[in-house]
Amino acid sequence: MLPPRPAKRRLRGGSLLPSSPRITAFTLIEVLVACAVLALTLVIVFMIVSQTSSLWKNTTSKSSAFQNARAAFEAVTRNLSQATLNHYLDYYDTAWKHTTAGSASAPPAHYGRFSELEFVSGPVTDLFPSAGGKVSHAVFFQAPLGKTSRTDLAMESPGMLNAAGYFVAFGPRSQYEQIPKFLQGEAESDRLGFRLIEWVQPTESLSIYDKTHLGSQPWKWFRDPIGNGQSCRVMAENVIALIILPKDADNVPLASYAYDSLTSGYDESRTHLLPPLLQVTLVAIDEVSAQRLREANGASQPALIPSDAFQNIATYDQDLADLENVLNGKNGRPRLTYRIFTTTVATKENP
Amino acid sequence: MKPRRSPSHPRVHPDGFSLVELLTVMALLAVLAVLVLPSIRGVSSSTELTISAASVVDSLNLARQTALSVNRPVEVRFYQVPSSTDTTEAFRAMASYVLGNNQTNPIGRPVWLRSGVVLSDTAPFGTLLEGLPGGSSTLPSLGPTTYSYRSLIFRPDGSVALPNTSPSDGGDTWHVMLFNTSRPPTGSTPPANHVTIQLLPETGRTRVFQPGAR
Repeated sequence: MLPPRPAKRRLRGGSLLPSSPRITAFTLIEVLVACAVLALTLVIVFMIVSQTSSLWKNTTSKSSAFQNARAAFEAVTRNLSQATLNHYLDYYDTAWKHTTAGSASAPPAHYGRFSELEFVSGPVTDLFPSAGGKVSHAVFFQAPLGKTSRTDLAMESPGMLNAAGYFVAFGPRSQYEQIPKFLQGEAESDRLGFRLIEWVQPTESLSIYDKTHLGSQPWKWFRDPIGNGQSCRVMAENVIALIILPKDADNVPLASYAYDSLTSGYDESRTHLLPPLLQVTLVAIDEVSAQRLREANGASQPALIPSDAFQNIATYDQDLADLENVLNGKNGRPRLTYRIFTTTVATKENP
Repeated sequence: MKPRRSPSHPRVHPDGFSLVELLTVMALLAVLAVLVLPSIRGVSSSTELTISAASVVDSLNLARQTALSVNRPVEVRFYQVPSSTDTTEAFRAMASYVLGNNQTNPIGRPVWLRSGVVLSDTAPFGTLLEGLPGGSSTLPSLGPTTYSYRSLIFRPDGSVALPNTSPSDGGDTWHVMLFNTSRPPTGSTPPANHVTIQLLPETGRTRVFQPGAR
């Protein structure tokens, strides 16, 4: 605290005398410097706070992104291991065509395995007439998942049969799930991206028994409902690839990715059988990487998977290494954070 | 008492500021404040929106979890109440109740949105509040006055007692938008800063849409 200043001296000395005590007040320059220092400190503190919060956001979004992908991966493998064909022995004629007991034109000559159900997996380019944003592989099967939209049915029988399937598709969010109408088409809410889609057809609308799919329209039972977007839901965001690799009981890959339990001729070791083992691989990226892809590609679909990859089962390891190179940012592409989930599930009903 | 000052430092300036200096500093501060305040206001209003949306989602999740764990239907009420700064009644509070045989037991205390944040109750932004049945009751912290509310019920299996789609606009989703009363939606255009919470009746889960949030 300043001591009281002698008023006399100030009044007398109109001019400042060298002997007068130094008056301590801030100069304008000092105040301005102090203001500048304060402003600088505030800016630095604000920068630190905003960087910390963005780091926090990035980390949590990263971990939650892979949490969702992991949960989806576990659900996919759990449901795939429930896949069933529920096959039984039935009559076949001399040319090994399925027939009935009383048929006069094709009398029964053999017993063989038969099932009305079907297991299909393989590249989407084989399974769908047009990709429509779908990439990598897809799998379709029947399993006792017990899903129904009728509450009276759900109460009575928890394990009813459903047709189910999984595939990865690129498109706006509203393509496979319903979002508020006023947000549809909004770039930030209805954003473009790769998503793992689950298709589970409710028991009461099961279309596998519709036999028109057997003749001229193979796979109509899943192509039609998925074409209409029925019974689909997004399981996980930012999943860029799903690869289904069928293996025999000795853990050796089969000859081709494409697997259909419904074969053109009768094959004792293959017809109406599930693949004994299924190696499921799922590749997910995080939300920050997805945002980077959106910025780099705009409205067009990013070409992450080389066009000829995952078509030939013999080059699986090489194709996966190539995909990792793309994701790691080789050839001047943006570097993405990704995770690969892979496991082998055993199916039921192996002979 | 003589001030103990070294005489070797000559006095150069008159003591204190001159009026001009003071005015200069004040003008500079005013200019800085004008430059900085709008962005701080923007940041704080978006923070309040985010916090309010989180509390709405949390209380919906709590109601669902409670319904599952006590195996009883749980009613969630959205109340139309005034706030401390705004006397007009709007949807700013929510409370959950376990529905028993004869009585309703509140779950915790009512949840209040942050000041200035309200829930939309008109389509296309607030199909949820628009389509819900209503009632009126008192609120514990607001004395004997009754306030009107709209309510929904979580079933003991976690689902919500609502049809799969709302009747609005030929089958829109059930959703509610939170916005700041200083920046309301204009017509059918949402404000730049808003949070929309979608409720999926089949599972009782929620989905949050927030533009600009990563």
